[in-house]
Amino acid sequence: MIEAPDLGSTTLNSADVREWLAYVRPKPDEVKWQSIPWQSDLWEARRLAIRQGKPIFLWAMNGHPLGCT
Amino acid sequence: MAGRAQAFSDPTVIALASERFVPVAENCSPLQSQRDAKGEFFRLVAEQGHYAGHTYPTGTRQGYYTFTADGKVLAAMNSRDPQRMIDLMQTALRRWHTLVDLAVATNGHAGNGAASRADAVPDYVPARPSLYPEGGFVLQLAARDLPREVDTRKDDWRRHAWNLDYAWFTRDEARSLVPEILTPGNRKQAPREIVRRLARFHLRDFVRGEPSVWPEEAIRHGELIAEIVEVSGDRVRLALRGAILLQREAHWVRPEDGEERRSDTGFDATLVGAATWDAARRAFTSFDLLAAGPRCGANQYNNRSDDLGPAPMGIAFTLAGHEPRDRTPPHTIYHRDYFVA
Repeated sequence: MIEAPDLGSTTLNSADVREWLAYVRPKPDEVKWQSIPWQSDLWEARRLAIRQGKPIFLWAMNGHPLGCT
Repeated sequence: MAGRAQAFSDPTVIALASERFVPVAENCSPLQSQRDAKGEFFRLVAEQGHYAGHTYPTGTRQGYYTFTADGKVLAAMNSRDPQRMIDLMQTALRRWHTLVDLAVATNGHAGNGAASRADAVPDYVPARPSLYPEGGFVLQLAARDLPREVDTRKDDWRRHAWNLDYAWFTRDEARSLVPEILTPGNRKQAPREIVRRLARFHLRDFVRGEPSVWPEEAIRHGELIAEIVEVSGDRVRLALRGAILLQREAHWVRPEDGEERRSDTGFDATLVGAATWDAARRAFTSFDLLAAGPRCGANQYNNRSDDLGPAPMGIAFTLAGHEPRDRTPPHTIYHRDYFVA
Protein backbone atom coordinates (compact mmCIF):
# COMPACT_ATOMS: atom_id res chain seq x y z
CA MET A 1 0.00 0.00 0.00
CA ILE A 2 2.85 2.40 0.81
CA GLU A 3 5.68 2.79 -1.61
CA ALA A 4 9.25 3.12 -0.43
CA PRO A 5 10.61 6.48 -1.54
CA ASP A 6 14.23 7.21 -2.22
CA LEU A 7 15.50 9.42 0.60
CA GLY A 8 19.11 9.30 -0.44
CA SER A 9 20.73 7.65 2.55
CA THR A 10 17.43 6.96 4.26
CA THR A 11 14.72 4.54 3.18
CA LEU A 12 11.10 4.94 4.19
CA ASN A 13 8.69 2.02 3.97
CA SER A 14 5.33 1.04 5.38
CA ALA A 15 6.82 -0.96 8.24
CA ASP A 16 8.72 1.86 9.81
CA VAL A 17 6.66 4.98 9.14
CA ARG A 18 5.62 4.98 12.78
CA GLU A 19 9.26 4.86 13.83
CA TRP A 20 10.16 7.72 11.52
CA LEU A 21 7.26 9.75 12.88
CA ALA A 22 8.60 9.15 16.39
CA TYR A 23 12.08 10.12 15.20
CA VAL A 24 10.89 13.44 13.79
CA ARG A 25 8.57 14.38 16.65
CA PRO A 26 10.15 16.15 19.64
CA LYS A 27 11.31 13.99 22.53
CA PRO A 28 10.10 14.64 26.11
CA ASP A 29 13.41 16.28 27.02
CA GLU A 30 12.99 18.72 24.14
CA VAL A 31 9.54 19.89 25.17
CA LYS A 32 9.83 20.40 28.90
CA TRP A 33 8.77 23.98 28.23
CA GLN A 34 5.37 22.62 27.23
CA SER A 35 4.77 21.61 30.85
CA ILE A 36 4.30 25.32 31.59
CA PRO A 37 0.61 26.22 31.11
CA TRP A 38 1.28 28.85 28.47
CA GLN A 39 -1.54 31.13 27.47
CA SER A 40 -1.43 32.11 23.83
CA ASP A 41 -3.15 35.50 24.09
CA LEU A 42 -1.76 38.49 25.97
CA TRP A 43 -5.17 40.08 26.42
CA GLU A 44 -6.65 36.95 27.97
CA ALA A 45 -3.57 36.63 30.17
CA ARG A 46 -4.33 40.07 31.64
CA ARG A 47 -7.80 38.91 32.69
CA LEU A 48 -6.42 35.70 34.11
CA ALA A 49 -3.77 37.62 36.06
CA ILE A 50 -6.45 39.71 37.74
CA ARG A 51 -8.61 36.69 38.53
CA GLN A 52 -5.64 34.77 39.97
CA GLY A 53 -3.93 37.74 41.65
CA LYS A 54 -0.62 37.07 39.93
CA PRO A 55 1.81 39.00 37.75
CA ILE A 56 2.25 38.09 34.09
CA PHE A 57 5.30 36.42 32.58
CA LEU A 58 5.48 37.16 28.84
CA TRP A 59 7.73 35.28 26.43
CA ALA A 60 7.89 37.40 23.29
CA MET A 61 9.74 36.43 20.12
CA ASN A 62 9.79 37.43 16.49
CA GLY A 63 7.99 34.30 15.33
CA HIS A 64 5.64 32.56 17.73
CA PRO A 65 7.54 31.02 20.68
CA LEU A 66 5.10 28.09 20.76
CA GLY A 67 5.22 27.51 17.03
CA CYS A 68 7.59 28.12 14.14
CA THR A 69 10.37 30.46 15.10
CA MET B 1 14.12 26.15 19.00
CA ALA B 2 17.20 25.17 20.99
CA GLY B 3 16.68 28.37 22.98
CA ARG B 4 13.26 27.24 24.05
CA ALA B 5 14.71 24.10 25.59
CA GLN B 6 17.58 25.99 27.19
CA ALA B 7 15.46 28.60 28.90
CA PHE B 8 12.57 26.43 30.04
CA SER B 9 14.06 23.03 30.91
CA ASP B 10 15.19 24.10 34.36
CA PRO B 11 12.76 22.75 37.01
CA THR B 12 12.92 25.96 39.08
CA VAL B 13 12.10 28.06 36.02
CA ILE B 14 9.22 25.75 35.16
CA ALA B 15 7.86 25.85 38.72
CA LEU B 16 8.13 29.63 39.06
CA ALA B 17 6.57 30.32 35.67
CA SER B 18 3.76 27.82 36.22
CA GLU B 19 2.85 28.61 39.81
CA ARG B 20 3.76 32.22 40.55
CA PHE B 21 2.91 33.91 37.23
CA VAL B 22 0.37 33.78 34.46
CA PRO B 23 2.66 32.59 31.65
CA VAL B 24 1.85 33.76 28.14
CA ALA B 25 3.74 33.49 24.85
CA GLU B 26 3.22 35.77 21.87
CA ASN B 27 4.75 36.56 18.51
CA CYS B 28 5.94 40.12 19.02
CA SER B 29 6.52 40.85 15.32
CA PRO B 30 2.93 42.01 14.73
CA LEU B 31 2.50 43.43 18.26
CA GLN B 32 5.41 45.83 17.76
CA SER B 33 3.27 47.81 15.30
CA GLN B 34 -0.27 46.41 15.55
CA ARG B 35 -2.83 49.22 15.65
CA ASP B 36 -5.23 48.00 18.27
CA ALA B 37 -5.48 47.91 22.07
CA LYS B 38 -3.44 44.74 22.34
CA GLY B 39 -0.61 46.17 20.26
CA GLU B 40 -0.70 49.39 22.30
CA PHE B 41 -0.59 47.41 25.54
CA PHE B 42 2.38 45.36 24.33
CA ARG B 43 4.24 48.53 23.39
CA LEU B 44 3.42 50.07 26.79
CA VAL B 45 5.12 47.06 28.39
CA ALA B 46 8.01 46.76 25.92
CA GLU B 47 8.95 50.43 26.19
CA GLN B 48 9.65 49.91 29.90
CA GLY B 49 11.86 46.90 29.12
CA HIS B 50 15.37 46.03 28.01
CA TYR B 51 15.03 47.26 24.41
CA ALA B 52 13.09 50.43 25.15
CA GLY B 53 13.68 52.97 22.40
CA HIS B 54 16.07 50.75 20.44
CA THR B 55 15.94 50.98 16.66
CA TYR B 56 19.44 49.65 15.81
CA PRO B 57 20.54 47.08 14.76
CA THR B 58 16.83 46.16 14.79
CA GLY B 59 13.70 47.42 16.44
CA THR B 60 12.89 44.01 17.91
CA ARG B 61 11.31 43.82 21.34
CA GLN B 62 11.99 40.10 21.84
CA GLY B 63 12.55 38.89 25.35
CA TYR B 64 11.01 38.03 28.69
CA TYR B 65 8.80 40.53 30.50
CA THR B 66 7.16 40.38 33.91
CA PHE B 67 4.47 42.95 34.62
CA THR B 68 1.16 43.68 36.27
CA ALA B 69 -2.16 43.28 34.51
CA ASP B 70 -2.29 47.02 33.92
CA GLY B 71 1.15 47.06 32.33
CA LYS B 72 3.62 48.11 35.01
CA VAL B 73 6.86 46.25 34.24
CA LEU B 74 8.46 44.48 37.22
CA ALA B 75 11.55 43.12 35.44
CA ALA B 76 12.56 42.31 31.86
CA MET B 77 15.51 40.93 29.91
CA ASN B 78 16.45 38.96 26.80
CA SER B 79 18.61 36.05 27.96
CA ARG B 80 18.02 32.31 27.77
CA ASP B 81 20.30 31.59 30.72
CA PRO B 82 18.23 29.66 33.30
CA GLN B 83 19.88 31.28 36.34
CA ARG B 84 19.26 34.76 34.93
CA MET B 85 15.67 33.69 34.28
CA ILE B 86 15.27 32.62 37.91
CA ASP B 87 16.80 35.93 39.06
CA LEU B 88 14.40 37.82 36.79
CA MET B 89 11.36 36.06 38.19
CA GLN B 90 12.45 36.38 41.82
CA THR B 91 13.15 40.09 41.35
CA ALA B 92 9.73 40.49 39.76
CA LEU B 93 8.03 38.67 42.63
CA ARG B 94 9.73 40.88 45.23
CA ARG B 95 8.55 44.00 43.38
CA TRP B 96 5.10 42.50 42.96
CA HIS B 97 4.73 41.90 46.69
CA THR B 98 5.91 45.45 47.40
CA LEU B 99 3.15 46.73 45.10
CA VAL B 100 0.57 44.50 46.75
CA ASP B 101 1.63 45.64 50.27
CA LEU B 102 1.46 49.26 49.14
CA ALA B 103 -2.02 48.75 47.70
CA VAL B 104 -3.24 47.14 50.92
CA ALA B 105 -1.81 50.01 52.98
CA THR B 106 -3.32 52.63 50.67
CA ASN B 107 -6.66 51.11 49.69
CA GLY B 108 -7.26 48.47 52.29
CA HIS B 109 -7.23 45.74 49.63
CA ALA B 110 -4.71 44.14 47.30
CA GLY B 111 -5.28 45.97 44.05
CA ASN B 112 -3.52 44.97 40.90
CA GLY B 113 -2.23 48.27 39.68
CA ALA B 114 -4.97 50.24 37.98
CA ALA B 115 -6.97 47.16 37.13
CA SER B 116 -8.40 45.18 40.00
CA ARG B 117 -11.24 43.34 38.26
CA ALA B 118 -11.15 41.13 35.22
CA ASP B 119 -13.77 43.30 33.54
CA ALA B 120 -11.35 46.22 33.89
CA VAL B 121 -9.63 44.68 30.88
CA PRO B 122 -12.12 45.70 28.20
CA ASP B 123 -12.97 43.87 25.02
CA TYR B 124 -11.30 45.31 21.98
CA VAL B 125 -11.54 45.06 18.22
CA PRO B 126 -8.46 43.19 17.02
CA ALA B 127 -6.67 44.63 14.03
CA ARG B 128 -6.20 41.07 12.82
CA PRO B 129 -9.12 38.81 13.74
CA SER B 130 -8.32 35.24 14.70
CA LEU B 131 -8.65 32.82 11.81
CA TYR B 132 -8.68 29.79 14.11
CA PRO B 133 -11.02 27.21 12.53
CA GLU B 134 -13.42 26.58 15.44
CA GLY B 135 -14.60 22.98 15.22
CA GLY B 136 -12.15 22.43 12.42
CA PHE B 137 -9.12 20.30 11.80
CA VAL B 138 -5.89 21.46 13.48
CA LEU B 139 -2.57 19.69 13.04
CA GLN B 140 0.70 20.13 14.89
CA LEU B 141 3.83 19.83 12.75
CA ALA B 142 7.35 18.89 13.73
CA ALA B 143 10.31 19.11 11.34
CA ARG B 144 13.73 17.55 11.70
CA ASP B 145 16.61 16.42 9.50
CA LEU B 146 16.75 12.66 8.89
CA PRO B 147 19.98 10.68 9.30
CA ARG B 148 22.64 11.02 6.60
CA GLU B 149 25.25 8.50 5.48
CA VAL B 150 27.81 11.26 5.17
CA ASP B 151 27.21 14.02 7.66
CA THR B 152 29.24 17.19 7.31
CA ARG B 153 27.10 19.31 9.61
CA LYS B 154 28.81 20.88 12.60
CA ASP B 155 27.99 19.03 15.80
CA ASP B 156 26.18 21.98 17.32
CA TRP B 157 22.56 23.17 17.41
CA ARG B 158 22.35 22.82 13.63
CA ARG B 159 22.78 19.06 13.77
CA HIS B 160 20.12 18.71 16.46
CA ALA B 161 17.70 21.36 15.23
CA TRP B 162 13.98 20.75 15.04
CA ASN B 163 10.99 23.03 14.87
CA LEU B 164 7.25 23.19 15.39
CA ASP B 165 4.36 24.70 13.51
CA TYR B 166 0.60 24.31 13.15
CA ALA B 167 -1.67 23.76 10.14
CA TRP B 168 -5.31 24.85 10.07
CA PHE B 169 -8.14 23.36 8.03
CA THR B 170 -11.86 23.92 8.28
CA ARG B 171 -14.35 21.25 9.32
CA ASP B 172 -15.53 20.95 5.70
CA GLU B 173 -11.96 20.55 4.50
CA ALA B 174 -11.49 17.68 6.95
CA ARG B 175 -14.54 15.90 5.52
CA SER B 176 -13.27 16.47 1.99
CA LEU B 177 -10.34 14.14 2.69
CA VAL B 178 -12.61 11.13 3.32
CA PRO B 179 -14.28 9.08 0.52
CA GLU B 180 -18.04 9.78 0.32
CA ILE B 181 -18.99 6.10 0.52
CA LEU B 182 -17.44 4.53 3.59
CA THR B 183 -16.43 1.17 2.18
CA PRO B 184 -12.99 -0.45 2.46
CA GLY B 185 -10.97 0.04 -0.70
CA ASN B 186 -12.62 3.34 -1.62
CA ARG B 187 -10.17 6.12 -2.32
CA LYS B 188 -10.35 9.88 -2.34
CA GLN B 189 -7.90 12.32 -3.85
CA ALA B 190 -7.45 15.32 -1.56
CA PRO B 191 -8.88 18.51 -3.05
CA ARG B 192 -6.44 20.81 -4.76
CA GLU B 193 -6.82 23.44 -2.03
CA ILE B 194 -5.64 21.07 0.69
CA VAL B 195 -2.66 19.84 -1.32
CA ARG B 196 -1.82 23.44 -2.19
CA ARG B 197 -1.92 24.55 1.46
CA LEU B 198 0.18 21.60 2.57
CA ALA B 199 2.70 22.22 -0.18
CA ARG B 200 3.07 25.99 -0.14
CA PHE B 201 2.73 26.66 3.58
CA HIS B 202 3.69 23.47 5.40
CA LEU B 203 6.29 21.60 3.36
CA ARG B 204 8.80 24.37 3.94
CA ASP B 205 12.26 23.65 5.27
CA PHE B 206 11.69 25.17 8.71
CA VAL B 207 14.00 22.83 10.66
CA ARG B 208 16.40 25.68 11.48
CA GLY B 209 14.30 28.78 11.03
CA GLU B 210 11.58 30.57 9.17
CA PRO B 211 11.61 30.06 5.40
CA SER B 212 9.38 31.95 3.02
CA VAL B 213 6.22 30.45 1.53
CA TRP B 214 6.60 28.42 -1.66
CA PRO B 215 5.05 30.31 -4.59
CA GLU B 216 2.27 28.57 -6.50
CA GLU B 217 4.58 27.87 -9.45
CA ALA B 218 6.99 25.96 -7.20
CA ILE B 219 4.50 23.07 -7.01
CA ARG B 220 5.72 20.72 -9.75
CA HIS B 221 3.60 17.81 -8.59
CA GLY B 222 1.16 17.29 -5.76
CA GLU B 223 -1.24 14.57 -4.65
CA LEU B 224 -2.56 13.09 -1.44
CA ILE B 225 -4.81 10.04 -1.48
CA ALA B 226 -6.86 8.60 1.38
CA GLU B 227 -7.91 4.97 1.12
CA ILE B 228 -10.35 3.30 3.49
CA VAL B 229 -8.76 0.20 4.99
CA GLU B 230 -11.34 -0.67 7.64
CA VAL B 231 -14.81 0.38 8.80
CA SER B 232 -16.00 -0.54 12.26
CA GLY B 233 -19.26 1.16 13.22
CA ASP B 234 -18.62 4.90 12.97
CA ARG B 235 -14.87 4.36 13.05
CA VAL B 236 -13.21 4.57 9.63
CA ARG B 237 -9.52 3.78 9.32
CA LEU B 238 -7.69 5.41 6.42
CA ALA B 239 -4.29 4.94 4.83
CA LEU B 240 -2.73 8.13 3.50
CA ARG B 241 -0.16 8.35 0.75
CA GLY B 242 0.99 10.87 -1.77
CA ALA B 243 3.85 12.89 -3.16
CA ILE B 244 4.60 16.59 -3.47
CA LEU B 245 7.53 18.01 -5.42
CA LEU B 246 8.51 21.64 -4.84
CA GLN B 247 11.24 23.50 -6.71
CA ARG B 248 12.17 27.14 -7.10
CA GLU B 249 15.11 29.47 -7.22
CA ALA B 250 14.97 31.52 -4.04
CA HIS B 251 16.47 34.98 -4.13
CA TRP B 252 16.79 37.71 -1.53
CA VAL B 253 18.85 40.74 -0.65
CA ARG B 254 20.81 40.64 2.58
CA PRO B 255 19.80 43.72 4.58
CA GLU B 256 23.19 44.00 6.27
CA ASP B 257 25.21 44.54 3.06
CA GLY B 258 22.70 44.75 0.21
CA GLU B 259 24.20 41.64 -1.39
CA GLU B 260 21.87 39.64 -3.61
CA ARG B 261 21.67 35.92 -2.86
CA ARG B 262 20.20 33.09 -4.94
CA SER B 263 19.67 29.43 -4.12
CA ASP B 264 18.09 26.48 -5.93
CA THR B 265 15.67 25.15 -3.36
CA GLY B 266 13.50 22.06 -3.39
CA PHE B 267 11.71 19.39 -1.40
CA ASP B 268 10.81 16.05 -2.99
CA ALA B 269 8.40 14.74 -0.38
CA THR B 270 6.73 11.38 -0.14
CA LEU B 271 3.65 11.42 2.09
CA VAL B 272 2.75 8.35 4.12
CA GLY B 273 0.42 7.96 7.07
CA ALA B 274 -2.79 6.81 8.68
CA ALA B 275 -5.89 8.45 10.11
CA THR B 276 -9.12 7.58 11.87
CA TRP B 277 -12.36 9.31 10.93
CA ASP B 278 -15.34 9.34 13.26
CA ALA B 279 -18.31 9.33 10.91
CA ALA B 280 -20.76 10.27 13.69
CA ARG B 281 -18.78 13.26 14.90
CA ARG B 282 -17.58 14.03 11.36
CA ALA B 283 -14.08 14.60 12.68
CA PHE B 284 -10.69 12.95 12.71
CA THR B 285 -9.83 11.27 16.00
CA SER B 286 -6.28 10.50 14.88
CA PHE B 287 -4.12 11.76 12.06
CA ASP B 288 -0.48 10.82 11.56
CA LEU B 289 1.24 11.82 8.36
CA LEU B 290 4.93 11.88 7.50
CA ALA B 291 6.31 13.96 4.65
CA ALA B 292 9.87 12.87 4.00
CA GLY B 293 12.43 13.21 1.26
CA PRO B 294 15.44 15.14 0.08
CA ARG B 295 15.47 18.92 0.47
CA CYS B 296 18.00 21.33 -0.94
CA GLY B 297 18.97 24.99 -0.93
CA ALA B 298 18.56 27.90 1.44
CA ASN B 299 16.13 30.71 2.16
CA GLN B 300 16.81 34.10 3.68
CA TYR B 301 15.74 33.14 7.18
CA ASN B 302 16.08 29.35 7.43
CA ASN B 303 19.79 29.14 8.33
CA ARG B 304 20.66 26.63 5.62
CA SER B 305 23.38 28.53 3.79
CA ASP B 306 25.99 26.11 5.20
CA ASP B 307 23.88 23.03 4.43
CA LEU B 308 22.59 23.22 0.88
CA GLY B 309 22.08 19.46 0.49
CA PRO B 310 20.40 17.61 -0.97
CA ALA B 311 19.79 15.89 2.35
CA PRO B 312 16.77 14.13 3.84
CA MET B 313 14.21 15.95 5.97
CA GLY B 314 11.03 14.79 7.67
CA ILE B 315 7.90 16.70 8.65
CA ALA B 316 5.45 14.92 10.97
CA PHE B 317 1.79 15.98 11.09
CA THR B 318 -0.28 15.02 14.15
CA LEU B 319 -3.71 16.01 15.43
CA ALA B 320 -3.24 18.95 17.82
CA GLY B 321 -4.54 18.91 21.37
CA HIS B 322 -6.88 21.29 23.15
CA GLU B 323 -4.52 23.29 25.36
CA PRO B 324 -4.33 27.07 24.85
CA ARG B 325 -0.93 26.51 23.19
CA ASP B 326 -2.63 24.34 20.56
CA ARG B 327 -4.32 27.48 19.25
CA THR B 328 -0.92 28.83 18.21
CA PRO B 329 -1.40 30.07 14.66
CA PRO B 330 0.48 28.64 11.69
CA HIS B 331 3.60 30.66 10.94
CA THR B 332 2.15 31.82 7.63
CA ILE B 333 -1.49 32.21 8.69
CA TYR B 334 -1.75 35.83 7.61
CA HIS B 335 -0.42 35.20 4.11
CA ARG B 336 -3.14 36.31 1.75
CA ASP B 337 -3.31 32.88 0.06
CA TYR B 338 -3.47 30.68 3.17
CA PHE B 339 -7.23 30.13 3.17
CA VAL B 340 -7.84 31.09 -0.45
CA ALA B 341 -9.39 28.38 -2.59
